Amino acid sequence: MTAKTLLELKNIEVSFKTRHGVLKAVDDLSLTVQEGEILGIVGESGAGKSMTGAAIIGLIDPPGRLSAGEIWFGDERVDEQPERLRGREISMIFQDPLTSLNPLRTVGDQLVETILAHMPVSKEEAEQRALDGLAEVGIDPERINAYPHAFSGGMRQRVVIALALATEPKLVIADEPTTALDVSVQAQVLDLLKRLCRERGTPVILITHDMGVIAQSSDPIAVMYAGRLTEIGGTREVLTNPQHPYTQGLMASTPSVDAKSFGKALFQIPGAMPKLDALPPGCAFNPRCQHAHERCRQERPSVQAGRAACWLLETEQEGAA
Amino acid sequence: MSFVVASDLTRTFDLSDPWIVRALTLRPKRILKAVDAVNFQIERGSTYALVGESGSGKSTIANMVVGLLQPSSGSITIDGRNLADASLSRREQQAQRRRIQMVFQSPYASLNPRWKVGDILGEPIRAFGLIDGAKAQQTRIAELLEQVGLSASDAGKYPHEFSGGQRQRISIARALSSQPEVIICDEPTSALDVSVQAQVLNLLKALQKDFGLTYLFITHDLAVVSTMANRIGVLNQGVLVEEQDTADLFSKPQQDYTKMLLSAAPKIEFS
Repeated sequence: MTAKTLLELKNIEVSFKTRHGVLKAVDDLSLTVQEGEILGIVGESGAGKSMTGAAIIGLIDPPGRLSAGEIWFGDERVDEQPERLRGREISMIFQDPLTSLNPLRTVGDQLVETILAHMPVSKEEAEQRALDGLAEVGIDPERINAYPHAFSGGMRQRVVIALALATEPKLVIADEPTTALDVSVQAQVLDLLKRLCRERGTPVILITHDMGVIAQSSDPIAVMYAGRLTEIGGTREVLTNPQHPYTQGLMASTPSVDAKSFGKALFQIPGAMPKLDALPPGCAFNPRCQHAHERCRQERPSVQAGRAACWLLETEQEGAA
Repeated sequence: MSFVVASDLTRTFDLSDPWIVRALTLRPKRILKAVDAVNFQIERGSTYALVGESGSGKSTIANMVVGLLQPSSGSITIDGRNLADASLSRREQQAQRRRIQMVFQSPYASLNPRWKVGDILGEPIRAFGLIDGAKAQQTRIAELLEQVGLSASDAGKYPHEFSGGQRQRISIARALSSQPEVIICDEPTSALDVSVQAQVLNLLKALQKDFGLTYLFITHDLAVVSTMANRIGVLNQGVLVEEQDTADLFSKPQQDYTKMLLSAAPKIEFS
């Protein structure tokens, strides 16, 4: 691999102590982010994708905690003191720009405050950077003294992107950045995020539930299910030739604007994602999987077996050998 | 004549300041035209989809069709009857209401958290006086739950005991409980995950086939529309800019706005 590894998650585990025992929201997850790439993490609600983002930046709400594993940022182990990196080295973009911006302060104030808090610059320079930042995301710098409510949803998310990039972070984590937006605005905001990060060479972790958004913006992608990594690989390979039965089902149940699918019933995966306090033994997907066999119900597969965490692939390989 | 007919449907909202403020500042009244002279027809047993971005007026139309909002002008007739018609007696109005039901976007907000599922499904049955006797009502509730893929024993549970997809099934069962002919689905799956969305869309389709239901489907998601609708109307700022059969709209969009919507929709394809 030629690209440098910026972030590495080694077997991390996020767990919550509850009355029903310890629940693992993220279970034995390993991922790497290379310089300059946009890693997509996709999964349905409860899959643990947002929890993974929160773990990196140290924003897991108690009683949850990072209970095992290591997070490496460059050559430094950071899981003990994630606050040190938050804001300065790693920025986060949240889903709802109306709640991530302070409604009582102008966007300029918020930009300047963020820059001053994290960078050794003068007030004047911070103001100049705030103006440049707004211009870069396509907002008229004259609106620097406007309040968040004066902007539309898409414009607000642009402000949030400007805020996230203002401190020249080394990594941006975007958690469902376009879910609250209309499709036409979504396309603009995604393009903007992609362009700015590519220009700066800043890697992005894009967390979303939308396969279309992932397909158009990130490479590689990681698919999560019930807190576990189920499949990881190049976006094109994973989406056009998914190996894990869950990814296959997810792709087949995504409605498309393809003429062949008009009026036809969608494929549906039976059942629902198990609750974390009632995970089946073995592969978490086995009760919904039509190919599940004995081993799937007993042993838990891991991605090390191949691109996807699935025993089927292993038996196929053994059969071929 | 078509089963559902909207003719010159218009709805305005008065956003003006109080009159005293207007008198002092000399500002004129501000009237927002949320829906502007919209015409469409839906055939019995088919699905008509209204597509548009936020603020396009699609939910306002849904609310007018179901009778939650009065049109400012224009009319909606269902099977030749206008719900807003003042000459209709109360009884006739109620009979008309029974035929139109709605499934809302958020299954978290549209089910009363303090009511058991059985009470939620039983209310329309009692309100319209459809079935007499507690025993017969319970049998009907059990039947409804099974029709939407839940089990009869779920009647004794509260909404919070169900997942999002299951709650939306309860909403659908509630809509079905008055034996309606038209169901308005206002973004019924946008709060759901993809795999659950597929289950709910397939359920809606199967029910349409079984009961000959007519759907008015409101959504912002063109992909969802393509699998559900027979005919699609595209709304932009309260105006119906284009209307075509599903296959034609996707292959031969006429208006620039429609083309823009189609090209902006995220697609899973690689060149």
